[in-house]
Amino acid sequence: MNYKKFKNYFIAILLIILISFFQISFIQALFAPINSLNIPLTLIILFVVFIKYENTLLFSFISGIVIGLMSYGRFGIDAMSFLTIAIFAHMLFNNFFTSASLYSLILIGIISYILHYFMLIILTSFYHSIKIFPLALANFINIKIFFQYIFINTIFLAILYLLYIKFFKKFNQLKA
Amino acid sequence: MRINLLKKRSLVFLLTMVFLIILHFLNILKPVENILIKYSSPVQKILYASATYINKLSIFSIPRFDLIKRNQLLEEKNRNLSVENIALKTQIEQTQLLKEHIEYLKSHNNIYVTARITGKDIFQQYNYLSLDKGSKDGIIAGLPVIAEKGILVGKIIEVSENSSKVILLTNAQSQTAATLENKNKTMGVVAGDFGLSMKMELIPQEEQIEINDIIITSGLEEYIPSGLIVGEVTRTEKESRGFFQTAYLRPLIPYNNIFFVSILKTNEL
Repeated sequence: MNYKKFKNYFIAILLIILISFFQISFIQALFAPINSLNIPLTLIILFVVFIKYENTLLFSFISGIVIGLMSYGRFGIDAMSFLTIAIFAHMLFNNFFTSASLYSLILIGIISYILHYFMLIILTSFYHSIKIFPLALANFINIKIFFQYIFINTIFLAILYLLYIKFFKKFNQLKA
Repeated sequence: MRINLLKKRSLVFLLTMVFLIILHFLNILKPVENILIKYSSPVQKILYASATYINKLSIFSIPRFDLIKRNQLLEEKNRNLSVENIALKTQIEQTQLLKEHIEYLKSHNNIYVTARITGKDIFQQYNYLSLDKGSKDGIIAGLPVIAEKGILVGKIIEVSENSSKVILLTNAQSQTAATLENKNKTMGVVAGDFGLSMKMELIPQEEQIEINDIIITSGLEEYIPSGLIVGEVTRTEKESRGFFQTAYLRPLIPYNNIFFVSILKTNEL
């Protein structure tokens, strides 16, 4: 690996870590419904469509680890969930919603957010069953928060997609 | 061929994650985790303080500045009066133990460790906070965490070298031995209620509970001294054919607006 590639990877990893800190220390501390935003997961869904799959996996891996470290007793759950979502969203994009349009992305997004929510419930229940973590999230399913979570993150995903199309795609075309 | 490569990469990441999870729970990764937490703490403190500042501005609501200001002043006055009232009642009731109480107050300043909040759990219902103080500051699990003026907000539940985690009183997993500030000094256990408020259950129905009654810690837990304010009663609910009632409480300060706390090092008393 040459120096430039190493530098790019280093900067990318640093950015991923900063995004994760931003999620845990800024977004989570804001008022509802803004604190329902899940920026790393939304970026994963967007990256599945627009960047290399391997880089999406790396993003999922690192951001999941950092978020797990900052959480109580849940290390690994977020990373496993993010990786699974990245794999699943990639499969959906390649086999069903192949157009990379806003509507396809929204559908992939909604399915991914629902899957993430239920994966957290299942994985925390698993941790609880093997006595790693004392509390199972299944005890706290809240319908209002669930729909709020899906709604807010879908809106955010749509906004990011439109911004990407407006600014970054043109930038990449200019570069090419 | 490309698909196989992608599947292989996915599997590698998943297996690496499983391996890291095992290493984490065996505490083998602890030194690396401590370094990351230690050097990320300043950034997290700034981010959390910024978010708390934005919460206080309430920039997304339609402000009635006159009413908001008046309401804030009244709430502050009410909090001060409640705290003052509790402190006076406690002093009167503990006259025989006055000397120990004064010595405890004098030594109080030496056993606080002030900590900044660096983050919250990503899932709202969990109500855990991360602090920037850990075992090297003498923190151990079970110590009480207070905000301004002796208001208890939670307990230390996990400690690493440079950080610790706090379980808030509103977390359903949290349980605190408490006393109602009424004539009979009713004792009970305050538990979190779906991450939003608290409740005190198994109170005999004949006990008189008024709205705005204050609940304080009873001192029955190992590291939790008596007299720390837990919350105030918002409503009560009696069992229709039972012997008990439940008092629903709310914290005296909104937990979203605190960005530093003090940890009582009662283990060093």
